[in-house]
Amino acid sequence: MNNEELDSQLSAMFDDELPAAECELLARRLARDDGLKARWGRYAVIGACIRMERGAQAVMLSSAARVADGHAGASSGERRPHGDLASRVSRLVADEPLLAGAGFKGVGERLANSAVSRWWQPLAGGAVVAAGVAAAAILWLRARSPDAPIVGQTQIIAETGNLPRALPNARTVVSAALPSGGAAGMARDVSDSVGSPADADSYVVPAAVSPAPFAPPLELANFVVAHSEYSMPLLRRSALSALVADGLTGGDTGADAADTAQSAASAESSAAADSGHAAGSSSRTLDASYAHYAH
Amino acid sequence: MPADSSDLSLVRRVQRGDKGAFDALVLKYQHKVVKLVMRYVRNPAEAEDVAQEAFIKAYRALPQFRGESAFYTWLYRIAINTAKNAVVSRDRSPVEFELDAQNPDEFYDMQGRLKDSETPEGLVLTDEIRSTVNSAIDALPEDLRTAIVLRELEGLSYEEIAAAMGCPVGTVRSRIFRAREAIDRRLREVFEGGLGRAEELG
Repeated sequence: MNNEELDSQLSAMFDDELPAAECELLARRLARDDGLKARWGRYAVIGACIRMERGAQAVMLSSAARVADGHAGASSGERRPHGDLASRVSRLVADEPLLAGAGFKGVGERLANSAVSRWWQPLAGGAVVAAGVAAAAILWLRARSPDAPIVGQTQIIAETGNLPRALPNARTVVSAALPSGGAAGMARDVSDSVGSPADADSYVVPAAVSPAPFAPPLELANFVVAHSEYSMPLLRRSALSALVADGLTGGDTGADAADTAQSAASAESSAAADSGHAAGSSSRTLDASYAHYAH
Repeated sequence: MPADSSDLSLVRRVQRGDKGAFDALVLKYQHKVVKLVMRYVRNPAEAEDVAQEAFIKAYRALPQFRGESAFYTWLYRIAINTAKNAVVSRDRSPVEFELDAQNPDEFYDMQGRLKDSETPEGLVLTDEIRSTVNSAIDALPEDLRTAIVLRELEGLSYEEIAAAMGCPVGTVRSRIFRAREAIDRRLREVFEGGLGRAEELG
């Protein structure tokens, strides 16, 4: 595009008579080209002179002159009592923060992007926050020793010794783990339903034992008891019966307890898998489980 | 063609962070804004300060400009409010006047008032520019002069000018451009020489 064509476009743009597509391109160039900007400013001066805008003209023409010669006097330190409004505004705007920076939507883009097209933004923000919280929780848990109990967590351990049928000996031990106590947490005997009241509030310090052989079966048994309320009544009974049977046979060793709990868990899972099957199928599974638990 | 499309193009650029585009808007409208503000404040220096404040306010408010009205209409409201606030804050009553080229007495009276607050160098430059533009317009061929005057003085669109002059719109565009170029050539000479003369006076 030659200069004459460019200047012709500039003249038409000044009058708002240039097609919008060409305006976009020329506006981009105008914003960066000081020579073009100076010409644009002189067009404004010409219009002001023709319209006899005397009041404005008296103030502005000297600044227009400076614009016209490419801010020649700006660096010479000359002081003009009036005028140079455009240069002053330009300097002040340069000190202003960017309106939007990258990603700011202009008039047309903002109108085009309705709220519907941005429906995912709040969800994405929530997902980011949730992911951050989850990551922090995982890192925090991993940072802790595998032996160390989680601070503040109350672990319910159901001793598999006796259950309702043997209520006199049944008891539930709630161990409140200490933050730095390792495996030797402080155990509190809180519910001794048939024991003496004096024992109910007694604290005992369990012997330090390696958690590896003991904790898994207890945890598994605890898992079974805790989750049995969500299983089918028949299966819950089977699981509890298995635990009772295991206790009666003296099988409270780690291996037996683990076997018991795993079997109960497998029964529960198989029940879940077979829940849609016929009753006969379920009863066969139950029978098999009973057979297994009864050894 | 949508009205105000050139202003909207510049506004969009400013909204995207291109501050240079705002310079073009200021250059285009500074005369009108100062003229408008001078209805409320007494002297040109104060009018310039108020106009500057209005432009800065407009820049800061541009993210809220949605293009539902013409940019100048929006800027006009900001300038009016800024001028009114300036008057209130300085405890002055607004002075309303209109420069009317059809009323020579008022025009020359206003000229006298403005001269009191202007410096000799500014006046020399201003008068020289005005006379240069007027003589350049007089020297234009009739069709160019008619086109530029209808545009700048009467505010007609290219289509209206084409209808008035009985020629295509493209011809109107070309005539107005050639008229501006002819005036601009003379104006540039004055700017170069005028600055030098102004410094001599200083």
